[in-house]
Amino acid sequence: MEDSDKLWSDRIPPDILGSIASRLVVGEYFVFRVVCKQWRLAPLMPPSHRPRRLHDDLQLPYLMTLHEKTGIVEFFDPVYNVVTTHNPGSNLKTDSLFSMRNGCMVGKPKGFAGGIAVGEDLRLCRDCWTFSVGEKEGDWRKKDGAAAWRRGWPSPSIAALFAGGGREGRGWPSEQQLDSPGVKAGGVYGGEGRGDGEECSPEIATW
Amino acid sequence: MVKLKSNDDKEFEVEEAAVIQSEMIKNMIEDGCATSVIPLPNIDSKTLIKVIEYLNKHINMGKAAETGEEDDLKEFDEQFVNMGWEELFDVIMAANYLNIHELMELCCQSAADRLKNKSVRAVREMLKITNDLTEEEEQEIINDAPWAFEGPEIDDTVN
Repeated sequence: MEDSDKLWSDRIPPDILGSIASRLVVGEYFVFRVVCKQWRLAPLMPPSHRPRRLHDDLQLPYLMTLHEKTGIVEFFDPVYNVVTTHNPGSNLKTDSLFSMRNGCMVGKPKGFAGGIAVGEDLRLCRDCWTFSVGEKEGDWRKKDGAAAWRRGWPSPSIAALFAGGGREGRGWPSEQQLDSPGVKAGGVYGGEGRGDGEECSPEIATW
Repeated sequence: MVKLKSNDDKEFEVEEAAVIQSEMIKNMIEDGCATSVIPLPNIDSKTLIKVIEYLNKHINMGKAAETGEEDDLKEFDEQFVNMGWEELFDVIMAANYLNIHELMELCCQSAADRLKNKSVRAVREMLKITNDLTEEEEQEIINDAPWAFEGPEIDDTVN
């Protein structure tokens, strides 16, 4: 084909590119966007436009970005690469939880530096995705980690953001804890260096 | 049987049960618009053969789940997408045109799998893409997540 060098840039329909991009996770998606203009502009497929699949019944992860200065929060769904932005405005509590949306809890643990809560250490842990925060390579383990996932997607019934030690095997709540009666939508757990699932006493704003 | 004609004038006979996995052809048949030979002006014979191979294999997908042949189907799918980027492009475009949902899923997933951990340079070379971003545009994205562009897992090979 004489113009085979344009197949994947100019001739590929944007929605197909978007469908491919939506299957990448975090880091790969950043690489994807640097490839060329078409790829950068590819529309991402929101989950609702995609067929329900088996893994949709698992807890899905959300990564949270907190822009400390503006108080704007971004939820990043690493499965579908969808970012939604929310501005909780004056309800922002800088050292604890501040909002809840669609059953998804957002919290900000004490000592968390803010900024992008997307780490390179995205790994599967107890049937749920967890992630850690790190400003540069090598130091994420010293930072607080945070994990959020939603249960019962796409009709979320309970979700919580957990914060705690970034070390593997420590600080992550077990399924049992999640299912225990004491855990409810609206509960928030975390805090610097604790990561033991202990409940904070945050204020909750709903929007 | 349904006859399909590629854009290079080759005709292929396919069982109706197989061909109706294409929403487009299914609608044509249901609406009574299917002529004795269905012309597919966007698909060449090489690609159409691949698509038909897929349709024939997936004809009894529901049954496969019951009879435990899912592994067989999975293996077939893995083999099926073992093709070059240009061929994959052709099959994706054909699946898109014919509206074969499962085949689209399979091919898009394969494309995504191949991009995993690849460096930007490797992706451009593999897919013969010319970079048309300005240095500023490129840097802007890299600055958002510098960690995504470095590290031992980044694969710069073009396989």
